[in-house]
Amino acid sequence: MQFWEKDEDGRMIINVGPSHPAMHGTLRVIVELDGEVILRADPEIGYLHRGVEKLAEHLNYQAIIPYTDRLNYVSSLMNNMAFCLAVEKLLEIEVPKRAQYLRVIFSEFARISDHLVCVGTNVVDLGALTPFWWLYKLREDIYELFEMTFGARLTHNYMRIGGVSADPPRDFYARAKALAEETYRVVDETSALLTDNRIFLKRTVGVSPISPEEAIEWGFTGPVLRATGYEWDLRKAEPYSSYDDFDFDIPVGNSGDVFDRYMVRMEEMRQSARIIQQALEGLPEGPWIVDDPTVALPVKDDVYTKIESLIHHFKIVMDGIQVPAGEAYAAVEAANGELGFHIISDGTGKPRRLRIRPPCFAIYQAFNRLLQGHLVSDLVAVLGSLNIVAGELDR
Amino acid sequence: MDRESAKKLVEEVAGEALEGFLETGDVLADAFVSRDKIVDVLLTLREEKGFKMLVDLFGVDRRPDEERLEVVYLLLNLKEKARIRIRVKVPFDDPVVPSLTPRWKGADWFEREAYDMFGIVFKGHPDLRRLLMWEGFDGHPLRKDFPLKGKLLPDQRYSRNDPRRHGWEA
Repeated sequence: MQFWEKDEDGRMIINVGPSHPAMHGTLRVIVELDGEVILRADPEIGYLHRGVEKLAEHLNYQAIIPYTDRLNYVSSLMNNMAFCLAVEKLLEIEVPKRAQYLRVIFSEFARISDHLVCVGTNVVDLGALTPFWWLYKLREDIYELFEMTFGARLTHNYMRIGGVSADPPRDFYARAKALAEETYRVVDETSALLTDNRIFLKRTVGVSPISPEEAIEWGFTGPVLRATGYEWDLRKAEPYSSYDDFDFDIPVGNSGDVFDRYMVRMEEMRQSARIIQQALEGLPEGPWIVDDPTVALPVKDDVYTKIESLIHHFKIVMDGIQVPAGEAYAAVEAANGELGFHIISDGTGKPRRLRIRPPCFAIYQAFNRLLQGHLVSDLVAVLGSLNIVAGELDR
Repeated sequence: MDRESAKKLVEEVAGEALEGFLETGDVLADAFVSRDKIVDVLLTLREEKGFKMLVDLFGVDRRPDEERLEVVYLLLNLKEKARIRIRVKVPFDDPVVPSLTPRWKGADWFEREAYDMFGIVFKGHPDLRRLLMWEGFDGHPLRKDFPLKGKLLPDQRYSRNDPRRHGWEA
């Protein structure tokens, strides 16, 4: 198969992906080159399109949560949370304080692991292998913590509508505290390798800068927007799940280039560790899911011994949680930016329409703008710094 | 900004193009705007009222309701932390909406996706191709009359993957 061709002006068209070592996930870009300079890059997406929005119209609300795990599979806990927040908005229920804190702890761990993957794979594409191992060691430790808590490493399915599925085991707290400490150490060590590294600086500084005005026009959110110098974080701007209880800073860059995105992500990991420490410190006692038999599944022992609990269990599993008719949009600050779920409910146990607003989608549509005039070797640097996850891009 | 002032703002910007409000609790104002004026309304909101970010744009199919198709625009004012939603009703037999992309870059892929999934044509879009489905795909998957299990391509019929072999053809 021919993978490149030349037209009469001497310009070359190269097809990169969808299966290519430097394309993380199934991404495909058709690049038009003049020598080594990129004239036009046309990303083609949809290789991981599984029709989650369509499937959701045929599923009960609680059965959609495992599907949200498969959107951004690098930080699936935050997807769970965004979906649950949207349903809770329609149900108008207040989640218990302990569940809110647990959600915050696990979301921040998910954010750290997402940033670790992003920075690690970005620098490995640029030729630095050691930071990759150091970062992935911490990610492995976080995944072991997740496995200990919910029994799954990648697709956790931990959050429930109205709370979380279970209280963490007893030895969770000490390990989580140690991991938060470890995060600072790993981030410091890795930045000692990278931040002043001349090769890394040459490959990243001044590559694909963008102004905040333009980033906003494209719909950028998350670290890519903050790298341009615009301070916008939903955790501060529209606090959800008790984020206003915690003290943390929003790191911003100034030019929006690949290096600034890297710096913002590194600092965000430290801030996430700060939030985790505060949340573990102030974790309130109490229930971890709402006390409402029409929303939360009853305790398993009661299902076997009490007829009411058996009926509630049956009704929730068979008919689904009955959500009042209406519409609601809830968004969280996911690792890549604003992840939103818009639910249109017609009053039954299944949504009439579920719209997922993935952060990558708005960012990746500007790929041509971000690459034009740069060298073909910058393509992998830019792609890695945007952290495009095909699972949430294509849904 | 509170609900009252947001509603007034939308009334002021939309003027005669306003077709009514929808009561949803999650945003400050949720309004239907007529199809011809939609681009002007959205651009005025951006240029004069500070709603700089187009967070989301998507289609909706409300079958079995009479007025099926709809396009929803979610706007965000970053300075005042305010969100408003603008909607357009799209007639099913003439699913055409003026495109926002020539004036607002961020609408590009969202419009392509809505075209792909619902068959809503955005008039004036510079590059209206399918986005998630492949070129040459037949139908628009998120329409309610599109079957959940999909459609077979002509060369897949009577092959080993034919669901009729297993007897679960609906």
